[in-house]
Amino acid sequence: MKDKVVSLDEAIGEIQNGSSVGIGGASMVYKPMSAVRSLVKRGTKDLTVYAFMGDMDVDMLIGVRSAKKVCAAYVGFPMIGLAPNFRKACQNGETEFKEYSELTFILGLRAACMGIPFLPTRTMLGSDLLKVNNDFKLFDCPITKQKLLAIPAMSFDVALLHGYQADSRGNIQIVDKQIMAELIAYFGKSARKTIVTVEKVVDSDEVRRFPEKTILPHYEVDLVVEIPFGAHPSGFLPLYSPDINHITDYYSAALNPEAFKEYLNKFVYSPETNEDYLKIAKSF
Amino acid sequence: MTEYSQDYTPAELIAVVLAREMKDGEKMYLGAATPVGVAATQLARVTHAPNLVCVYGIWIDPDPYTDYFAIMTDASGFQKFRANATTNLTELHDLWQRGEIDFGIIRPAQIDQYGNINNSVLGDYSKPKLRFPGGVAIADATNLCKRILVYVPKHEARVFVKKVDFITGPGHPDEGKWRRRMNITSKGPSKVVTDMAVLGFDQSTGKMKLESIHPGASLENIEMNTSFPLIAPEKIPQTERPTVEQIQLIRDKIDPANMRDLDYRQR
Repeated sequence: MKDKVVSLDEAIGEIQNGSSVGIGGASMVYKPMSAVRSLVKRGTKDLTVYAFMGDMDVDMLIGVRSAKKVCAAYVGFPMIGLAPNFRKACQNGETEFKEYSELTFILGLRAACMGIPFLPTRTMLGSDLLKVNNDFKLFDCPITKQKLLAIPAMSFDVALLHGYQADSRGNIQIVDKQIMAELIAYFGKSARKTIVTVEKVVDSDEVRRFPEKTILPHYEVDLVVEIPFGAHPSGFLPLYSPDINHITDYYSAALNPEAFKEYLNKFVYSPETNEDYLKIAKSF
Repeated sequence: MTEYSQDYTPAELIAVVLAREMKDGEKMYLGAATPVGVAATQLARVTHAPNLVCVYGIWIDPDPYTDYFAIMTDASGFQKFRANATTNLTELHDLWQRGEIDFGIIRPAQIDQYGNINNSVLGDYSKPKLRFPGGVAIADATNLCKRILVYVPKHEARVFVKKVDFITGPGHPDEGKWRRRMNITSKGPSKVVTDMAVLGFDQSTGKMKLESIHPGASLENIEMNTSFPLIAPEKIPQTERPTVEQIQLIRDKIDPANMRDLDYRQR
């Protein structure tokens, strides 16, 4: 079977200007942040970013003007503050934000996984979000005659995900007590190309002894990159928590264009490897 | 004889008043960033509503005496964390969509006289004066939870507006007739609890009405901090004070880290 393990540079180099990119994880956990930093470093342009609940990933890509459009149910730093670059870019009209609700975002992903054009639901009625999402269509249920809302399948060119472990064939496995692991499956199946960074690459024999831990089988995965602490500063529960100190430092830096530039130089542009980055960035 | 407390913060009073709105055996949902809502539901569970099913994000019935907010920020806290279940997102949303959640708790950035809630933008959507993080499940909860308990940490005119700039989640549009006409599962916002008052909604007009005023607050002050005329009874009752036991439970057992005050530090 094909060996899918590549370097981070090789993997991220596959992402073209103008691509749509789905970023896994949610709200400061399980985010593929080393991959996001690599994307920032390459200066990839005109991206449409899909994130269920965005934080530093979305904010940084907007701050360097890589993302022109964001699709998410939330972008912010819970208990810390509003996302500075995201907020500014929306307010200046520079970034288009397609605000989903939590349920409609997941339904969009599920429809793509199922290979159907839409999923019906009875949510979001009476909300102005229907004006923002003008591709959501109200229709009469053929069974009950009640009003239903059709949520179109959400698919994107590339999914960027962070998982626990994988073998060289690309089977992605979870760790005990991992939460929201289904997001890895939903994003992976909704993308035309799936790139997964993992805490470690293991022997195929280990994968095959614990097949129940595979959340995304090899045929859903295109490229695998081994990056310990690849979610940092986002968390990978139960292995490590979000690095709230680092995230708060980012937040403060992003409030000011000069400080944001310094942050990028120090933590994104200068470090040659993720190890170099961790030496200066990890507060625990 | 119930012993009432003279010593409580606004966050504690709101938590106690919200808790009194919860019935034993109900199922409730709350998302992230509603610390007073967490304190309120845990208080209800350890007092009059031991069978209240609490769904916090994907967690079902977290232990009332563990710091819920430490779960996501501290991996060792996460390891020690106890709950009846973690669901995946699809199972959680199935529960919403089947209409099994009795109430949700929302903290709005703006709420208007019909209870419409805005957590999206101030000003025009495409070029807003202020962009909020987004409503997460607000558009879902206002359609799918049987009722909504709203809390506002600080009762201000910029929160209580005549008409919201953007409806993230609907309240009682069309003078309260819209929900019946559309067969919406949810009855929408039922109570709004602030640091000054408890408010509800008039059945025949869908408009917000004053139900009780907290000890120390005045009608004049409430009206000054509300940008629309409030329906008010001729004699307005005073909100029942928290008891000594309720305040002790919140401070010593439920939320010793005082996460509830975060609602006053963030926006």
